[in-house]
Amino acid sequence: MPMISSNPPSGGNKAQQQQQQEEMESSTQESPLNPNAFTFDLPHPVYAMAFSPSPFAVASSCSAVAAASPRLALGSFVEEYGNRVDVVAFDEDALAFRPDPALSFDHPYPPTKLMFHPSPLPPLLASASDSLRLWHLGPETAELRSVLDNSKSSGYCAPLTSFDWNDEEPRRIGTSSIDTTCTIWDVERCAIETQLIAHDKEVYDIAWGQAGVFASVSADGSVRIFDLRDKEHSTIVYESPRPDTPLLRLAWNKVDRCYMATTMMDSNRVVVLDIRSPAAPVAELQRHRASVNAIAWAPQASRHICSAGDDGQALIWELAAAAAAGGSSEAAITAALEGIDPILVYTAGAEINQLQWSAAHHDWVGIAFSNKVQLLRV
Amino acid sequence: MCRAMDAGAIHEALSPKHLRKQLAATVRKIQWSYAIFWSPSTGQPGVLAWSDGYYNGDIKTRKMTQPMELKADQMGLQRSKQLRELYGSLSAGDNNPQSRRPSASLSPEDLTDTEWYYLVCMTFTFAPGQGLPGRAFANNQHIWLNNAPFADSKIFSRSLLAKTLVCIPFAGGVLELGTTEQVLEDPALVKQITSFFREMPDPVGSEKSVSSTQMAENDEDNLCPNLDYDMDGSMAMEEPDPLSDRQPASENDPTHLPFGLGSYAAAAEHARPVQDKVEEPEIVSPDDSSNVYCLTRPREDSFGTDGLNGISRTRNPWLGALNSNEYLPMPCVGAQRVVTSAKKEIISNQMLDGIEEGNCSKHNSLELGGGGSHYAKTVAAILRNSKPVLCFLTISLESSFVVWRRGLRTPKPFTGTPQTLLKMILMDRRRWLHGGHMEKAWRPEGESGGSYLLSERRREKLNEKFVVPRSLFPSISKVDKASILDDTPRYLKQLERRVRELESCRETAELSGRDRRKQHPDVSERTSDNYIHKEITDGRKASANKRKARDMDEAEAEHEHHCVEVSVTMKEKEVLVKMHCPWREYLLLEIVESMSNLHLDPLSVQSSTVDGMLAMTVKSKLRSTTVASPGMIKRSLQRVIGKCL
Repeated sequence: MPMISSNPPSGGNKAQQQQQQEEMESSTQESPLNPNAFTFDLPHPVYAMAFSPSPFAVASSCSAVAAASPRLALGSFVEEYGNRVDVVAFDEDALAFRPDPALSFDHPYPPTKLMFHPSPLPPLLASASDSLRLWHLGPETAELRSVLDNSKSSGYCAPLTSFDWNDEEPRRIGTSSIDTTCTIWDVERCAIETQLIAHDKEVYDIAWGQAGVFASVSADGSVRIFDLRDKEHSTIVYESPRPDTPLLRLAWNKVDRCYMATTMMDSNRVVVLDIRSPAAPVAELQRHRASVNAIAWAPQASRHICSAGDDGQALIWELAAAAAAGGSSEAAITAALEGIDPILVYTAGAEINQLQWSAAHHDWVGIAFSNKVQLLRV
Repeated sequence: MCRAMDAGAIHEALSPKHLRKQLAATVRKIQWSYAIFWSPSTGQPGVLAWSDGYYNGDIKTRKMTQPMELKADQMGLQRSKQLRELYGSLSAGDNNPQSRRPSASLSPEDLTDTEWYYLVCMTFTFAPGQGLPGRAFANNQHIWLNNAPFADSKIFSRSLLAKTLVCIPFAGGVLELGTTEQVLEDPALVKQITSFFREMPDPVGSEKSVSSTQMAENDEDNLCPNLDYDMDGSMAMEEPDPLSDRQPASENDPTHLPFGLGSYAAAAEHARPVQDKVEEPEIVSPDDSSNVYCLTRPREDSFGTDGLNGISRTRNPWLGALNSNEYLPMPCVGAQRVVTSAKKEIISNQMLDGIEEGNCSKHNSLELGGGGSHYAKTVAAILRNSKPVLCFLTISLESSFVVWRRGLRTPKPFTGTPQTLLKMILMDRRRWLHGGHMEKAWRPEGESGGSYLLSERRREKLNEKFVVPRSLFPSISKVDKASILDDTPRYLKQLERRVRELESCRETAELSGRDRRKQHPDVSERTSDNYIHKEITDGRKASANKRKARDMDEAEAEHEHHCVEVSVTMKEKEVLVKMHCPWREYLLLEIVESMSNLHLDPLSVQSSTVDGMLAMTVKSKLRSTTVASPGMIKRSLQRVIGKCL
C-alpha cells in the first residue's frame, strides 16, 4: 500500500499529512511510489555518487536546467575494467532527472568515490579507483585532466579505497589506500605533497577536518587524526570495541568540527565521536536492522546525521545538545539507556549502498540502491 | 477618529521613559511580576500592541556588564532592558545573521519561563475585545483574572504563566500587570495601581529606549502575516459568565486540537503541568465601576476595525524546527503542548493550514490553537532567527521522509551477506585489478583484511581438504576438523613406527640371509675345491655339471652387503661376471686386471655408471690351462673392489 496516494506535492498538505499519520499508524512502510522520492534508473549498479557544489555555473549542452539545480555524478559498479560515470542534472521545478550524456565518460574500474571540486569553478570531478583521476567537465564533454598516480618503480599503484577534497584548501586531496598509507596530493601541481603510513592495516576512509588536519579509519579498527604540521604523531580518537573490527566509513561534521561519525564492518551501529573526548563515543545509533553502509552529516545543521544500510532504510537522527553536553535531563538519561531514536525514516526497496547529502541544496539527499538512484527531499 | 487622536494625545503625554519608570515603580510597589502597557499601535491602527513593560519576576541567569551593585530597581530595569535587547536581536536576526550579541547580553537559555512569557508578549497584539487587554480596552473596565491558568482560553489565550492578571484600561491603552501568585481580587489594589501610575515616581537610573516601542511595531511588521484569519463574530465577545458559580469546565483534551496534536504530546519536553481542565474564570463583574479609573477617557466603542481581525500571527512557509530542550522552556498553553523538532513543523503547519481553511465549527478550538500557536510560532520565529545559537533542520512540506516510530517494521528483514557492495569496493578490488602479482605486492599481511569473498572460497577449499584425510585414514572415526588434525599426526607416527620396525626386520632378515649366503660360498668353495681337484683329474664335463650346479647355487645367493654385488657364473669355460658396486676411478681397470690374473680372458665388457654405482657385466673365458672357481674369482674381485673403498 503506497505511503501517500497521488497527491500533488504542493497542494493538500493537510490531507497529505493526515494520511501520512494514518498510514504510519497502520505501519505499512513500503514507499516505492513515494511521490517525494525521485528515481533515476541506470543500466548498471551504481555505487559512487557526488553532488555538485552550487551553483553549477557551467552551461551544459542540454541546459534547460537552471544552473542552480542539483547535479549528480554517478559511478557504476561493474566488476571489470570498463565502467562509466554519468552526469545527471535534476530539475527542481519539473522534478525530473535530465541526464547529460555528453558529459558522461568511461572510467577504468569501478570508482570507489566521486567528488566535485569544492567550488563550482573549475568544474572538476575527481574519481578514485586504482589511482586518482581528475576530470574536467567542460561545456561540451568531459575530459581527463590528470592522473595522479602513486606508482613508483613497480608500476602498480595500490588501489584507493577513498579520498576527500579539502574544503578549506582545495588544492589538497587526501587519498586512502589498502597499502596502509594516506597520500596528500597537491592538485594544481599534480604532485604528492606528503605521504603517511597511517595505520597498520588497510585504510578504508579519510576525511578532512581543517586545512591541515584529517582523520582516517582502517581495518585495524581505529580512527586516527593526523595533523600535517606534525606528521610524526597521530591521535587515536576511537578504537572499535572488539579488536580488529574494521571501521569502514568515516564522516566529519563540517558544521561543528568536534563531531565525527564512523561505521563498522557488519555492524548496524553508527558511532558518533566527539574529538574532544576520545575513546568514549558521544552516541551509538542503533536503530538500523542491518548493517550500515553509508553515513552523511547534514551540511547545514550541526546535529543531524543521516545513515543508510542494508535494511533499505535511510534514517535521519538528531543528536540532542543535552547528550553532547552530558546533561542530566530525563531525555539524556533515556537516550543513554535505550539509545537515541531517529527522527525521520525513509524506506527504499533494497539495500542502500550509498548516501550523499547535498551541500549545495540542503533539502536533497541522494541514495543509491541496486540500479537506481533516488533523490529524497528532506 | 477623534478617539484615536485623543488616545494618541494621552499616549504622548506619557513619554516612554516616564512610562517605564512608572511601570517599574508600580510593579515593585505591589510586588508583582511584570507590567506591560499595551497601547494602540501606530503601525496597525486599532490594535493594541506592546508598548512597554517592566519585568520584575524570577530571573535565571543574571548577566551584567559590570559586576557592580545596583539597586534593586536598577537591576530590574536593566533586566527588562536586557530582555528587550534579546528580543530585538532575536527577531532582528533575520536581517543580520552575522551579528553577534555582546557577551553580556542574554541568550535564550538564560531565561526563566516567566521571562520567556514576558518576552513573547512583546509580539502580541490585541484587537479590541480580544483577549484580556482587548476586552479591558473595549469595555473600559479593568479585568481581574484570577487563577489564570485555569482560565478559559477564550478569555485569556496567552500562555498561562501568571496566576493573576489585571488589565486596567488606562491612558489610551491597557495596563496589564501580572504576578505568579494567586491574588484575590482587590479593588483597592486596582485603585492603588492606577494612582501609582498617576504619580511621578522617583527617577530611576536607566536608559530609555525609544526603540523598544518602534521595535515592537517593527517586529509586528516583520511578523505581519500574509494572512489574517477571520475571527470576528466567533471571537469571544460574549459576556463572561457570572462568577459566582464556578463550574468545573469541560475537559479540554489535547484532542480538542484540530489535528491530533495530542498524538505528539508525548514528546513534550517541558515539565510544566498541563492544565487539562478548564474552569470558568472569575471575572470581575462590570458592576464595579467605581474601581474604574481613567483619565479623561473617552468612551470606548469597538473600533471599526474591519480590516484587521484576530491576532496577527506569523505564517511561515518556512518551518523552522526547534531543537534542543535547552532552548525551549516553553510552558504549556492550556492543553496544547509544544513539541520539538520535526514534529513541530508538521504540527504547526497543520494548525496553520487548518486555521487557514477555517471551518466555522472549529473556531473555538482554533482560538485556542491560534493563541497557543501564536505563542509557539513566535518563539519559533525568535529562536529560529538566532542562528548562531541553534542549529536546526528545516523539513519541507513534501518531505520524502516520515516521522520515525518505534513500532515501524521494515518490509522484509535482510538476510544476505551484510555490506556486500561496500566490502567489494573496499576489499576485493584486487580481484579485478590486474593479476595475481597485485595481491602479492600489496597485501600487507597474509590474511588480515584480505578479500572477503576470496576467503570464503578459501574456506570452502579448506573444508574440502579436511575430507581427504578422513578417507585416507581408516582409523579416524571422528569427523570434526579438530579431531582430524589431532588424529592425523598420530596415525602418521604409527605408520612411521611400523615402517621402522619393518625395516629393521628386513635387515635382520637380510643379515640372516647373508649368513646363509656366506655359507654358500663356503660350500661352493668346498665344492669348488673339490671340483678343481676333480676337474683336473676328471674330465671337464663333470666339472661343468658341477659347476653348473654350483653356479646355480652361486647365482642364487648373491646379495652382498653395502650395495656391492658380485656374481660370477661359470659355464664351461665362459665366465660371466656381474658386478654392482660403488664406482671409483680405475675400478674397471683393476677388475679386468684381476680377472686376467685369475686367468680369465675378458671377451666383452658392459658397464654403466648410474648415480655413482657401477654396474658391470663381463663375459670372459677361462684360459685353458687354469681352473678357477667362481668363488675364488668372486673373492678376488671383491678384494679389488674393496681395496680403496
